[in-house]
Amino acid sequence: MTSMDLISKNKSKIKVAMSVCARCGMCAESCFLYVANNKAPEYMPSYKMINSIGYILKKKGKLTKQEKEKIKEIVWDRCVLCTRCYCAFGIDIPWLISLARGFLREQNCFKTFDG
Amino acid sequence: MKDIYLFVRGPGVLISFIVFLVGTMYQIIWFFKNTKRYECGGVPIFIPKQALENIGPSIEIKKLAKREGTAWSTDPFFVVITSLFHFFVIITPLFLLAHNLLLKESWSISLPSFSEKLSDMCTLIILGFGIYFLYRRIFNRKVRSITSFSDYWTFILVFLPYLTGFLAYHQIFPYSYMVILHIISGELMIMLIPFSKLRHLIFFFLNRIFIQSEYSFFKKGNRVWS
Amino acid sequence: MVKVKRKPFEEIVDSISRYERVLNIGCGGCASVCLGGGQREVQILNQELRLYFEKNQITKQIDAYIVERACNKKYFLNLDDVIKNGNYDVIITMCCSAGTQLLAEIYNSIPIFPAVNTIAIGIDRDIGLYEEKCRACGNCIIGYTGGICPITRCAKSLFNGPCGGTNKGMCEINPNIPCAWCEIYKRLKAQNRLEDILKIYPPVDWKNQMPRTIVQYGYEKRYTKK
Repeated sequence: MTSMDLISKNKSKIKVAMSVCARCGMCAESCFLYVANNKAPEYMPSYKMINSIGYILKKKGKLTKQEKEKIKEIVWDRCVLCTRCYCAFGIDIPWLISLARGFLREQNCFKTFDG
Repeated sequence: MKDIYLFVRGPGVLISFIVFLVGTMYQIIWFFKNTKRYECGGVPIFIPKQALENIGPSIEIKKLAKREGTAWSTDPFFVVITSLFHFFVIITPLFLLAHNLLLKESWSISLPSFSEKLSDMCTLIILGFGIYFLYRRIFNRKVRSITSFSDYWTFILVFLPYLTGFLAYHQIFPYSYMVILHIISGELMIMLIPFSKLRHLIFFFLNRIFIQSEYSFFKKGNRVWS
Repeated sequence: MVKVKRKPFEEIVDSISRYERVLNIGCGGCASVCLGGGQREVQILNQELRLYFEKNQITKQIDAYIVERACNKKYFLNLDDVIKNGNYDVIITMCCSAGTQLLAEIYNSIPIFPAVNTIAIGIDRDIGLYEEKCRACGNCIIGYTGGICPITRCAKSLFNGPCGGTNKGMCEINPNIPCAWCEIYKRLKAQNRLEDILKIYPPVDWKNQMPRTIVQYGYEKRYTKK
């Protein structure tokens, strides 16, 4: 069971989600972390989605250690999977973030809450 | 020049419509194949009657507060502009006098037409809002952080048919070039709808109506991605 | 969040002694946050089990899989395929009991044993140190008791004042913990609102004696059968 199984099984859905995202920026205000962090664009749900699962798909799963650390920071420190983000086009953003988390877990790169 | 015109005016239209319809059908079938119905966490054992009691505020207060927590409350200006933009983008070419005349010539069908002045105004609104979108994409911090090259060429793809149509109608540049450019850019836009970012036209309705989410229309969505 | 703690090692070994192929499922939610059942804890438990069985010359296959949330089927990721392809005899879980029960309902042909005890809804005092704060009685009155829950903190769960066995501010049942009602009195006095506990509350109907189903505000119509 390799980590690419998770991605390759859902490949077309991830691709379509990346394509349907019109980069409109309307999801920003629905993320409480975006609002609480002084409206920094790195907390926007679409930003998180594009730079985590979108990036993994673009690189076909071959990531360097630094890139994995960067994605780990995005999907664990900047998102708590509260599932309240809204997307004007109905993209299921929490599910895509959880796919990125699952991908990283299988590569033994995950967040431990003891630090 | 004449050959190009005859091609785009004739077979070109057919090709672009067929590609659009086939592409759209493909996306719709893909959507229904990749979602499942009622695939939630199972049926609850028992829902007591008290759980279904609605102890909230009165209906009037609920109706007034309905928009809170959605994009209407945080960015109403943009919601209005984008809704109007999309509305005009769809109805302007459908109810344009020139298009309906050509339709009548070729296929003996036509839709009712607006007056030319009204269509002109609609086109100007579209162009104006389009420029606002471009401005927003370049100067708004949150949108700029996720913008890439494909957003810009999609913008040109959509902007060009309306711009060239406007210029052709007013005969600002040489008409023959403008009209061919207009037809080619229009056909390109229609052909590429199911294969580019513009597929959000199809998926907006599919996702928001059928997928189970707290933001679905009519609150009747019961499909889940699988 | 929900706090869990691993069961004694012998108990876990006992529960899987009859089976050969074991899958250990962890959870990326509450269990991870309280350092009780996340990916690391699953790996550690698996290694301990392997070493134990090796020492006793028993062969067992022990695998691991972590779901993002065990309480919501949408976040099970690849679990379906893992179970189908792995042909497991038994599943042990390190997620909270709610998630374990959902897993047992969905994969109802495989025996499922929890490897953790679900302790409480609590807060994080410090790393590795968690304190129970809530028993989920469904009838929260802590506003009127200065933010201290009498159900959880009073040994007799009294709703309307101390029992009379208070000894120098400590509980008569366990002299090491302060009497909850003394604490409530002190806090309300500092906020100058002692009248709040003068109101007598009717006997609690102990809503947590029957499994409860919650329908969130706004979704009543969806689950009302016609």
